[in-house]
Amino acid sequence: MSLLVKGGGITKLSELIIDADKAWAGMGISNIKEVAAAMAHGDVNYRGAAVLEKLTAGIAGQYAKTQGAGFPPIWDDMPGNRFDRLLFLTIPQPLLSLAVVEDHSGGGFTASPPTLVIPAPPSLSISELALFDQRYESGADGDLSIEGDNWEAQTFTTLQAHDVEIIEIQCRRVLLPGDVTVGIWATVADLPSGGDLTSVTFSGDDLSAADAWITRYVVASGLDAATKYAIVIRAPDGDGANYLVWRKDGTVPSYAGGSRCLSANGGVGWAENGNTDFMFREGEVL
Amino acid sequence: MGLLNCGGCLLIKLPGGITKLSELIIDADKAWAGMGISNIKEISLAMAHGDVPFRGTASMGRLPAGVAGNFLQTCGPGRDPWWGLY
Repeated sequence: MSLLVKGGGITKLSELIIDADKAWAGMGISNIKEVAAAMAHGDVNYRGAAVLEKLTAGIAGQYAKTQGAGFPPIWDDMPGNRFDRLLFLTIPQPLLSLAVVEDHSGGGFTASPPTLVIPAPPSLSISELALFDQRYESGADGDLSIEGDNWEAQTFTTLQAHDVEIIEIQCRRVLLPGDVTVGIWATVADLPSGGDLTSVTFSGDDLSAADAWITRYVVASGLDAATKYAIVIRAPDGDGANYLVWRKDGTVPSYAGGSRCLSANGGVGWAENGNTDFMFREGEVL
Repeated sequence: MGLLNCGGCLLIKLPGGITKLSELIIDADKAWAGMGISNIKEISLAMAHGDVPFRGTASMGRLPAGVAGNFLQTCGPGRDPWWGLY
């Protein structure tokens, strides 16, 4: 006679009854899907009222902000962060002059009385407010030249549907690069494609020879949300001695929405360089 | 499997249960029923002091500690957060 006795205990996590808090003795738990209910990509954790909870990913560009002990953190904007204020008020100082006309003809004094000249009041120029959708403006540690058939581009992925109307880049000129064109292109397989959706051409000879952010406005072109586009820049009249320089971050750049793309044949063929991002901003004018 | 002799009876004891966490087979998601897990070294791979856990593409990921003074910045749903400049 024999008896079959099944041993106790469990072998699987699914069989484990959770009946107590457990100190994990300093050991690690890794490769787990989530530590709070229903976490999704980009969420982070914080301790809630009773258990670990998730802070759902906010709007791109927002920062984590504490609300003090006992309250959950939130994603919030900072002044000058997502919403840029490009407000410049220019008031040229008028020149006052006193014109005195004298008559040295030897005859009687016939001069007109002195005239005080007051120029017309200067016009005031107030630039427009801009809301940037995508930007990468920190970590510049080098630059790349643009001339002739050597074109450069920065791809970016929109957050929201918007009309691109303003483009800003950090750049400088070397000697006289000639005309520079900045355009917005669509992309196919992460590379610029199809030519300008909108563009602006200006003289690169008038740019600063020192690194500076420049602002250029383009005819509004509608961009879809969550879609990759490219800022394509070329200076076809430039050469090896006269060219435009676009500032870049070539050391583990952190912009997640795109990368540098380059063309050596005037925009016909493109290659992506995922280790470099250019300094740029794009958005709409309010 | 163990064999035990109990007065003419032969008991066959099947192996069962585990005694070590390392022997536990992870075969399911598990809701922790509101109970706590504390004093754990990491919840994503190779975390270090100052790292922040976040939900990655398919599992928990870690954001390595940033440069002192940087701010934790969201890149929106579906993207990893990062340390940004203000």
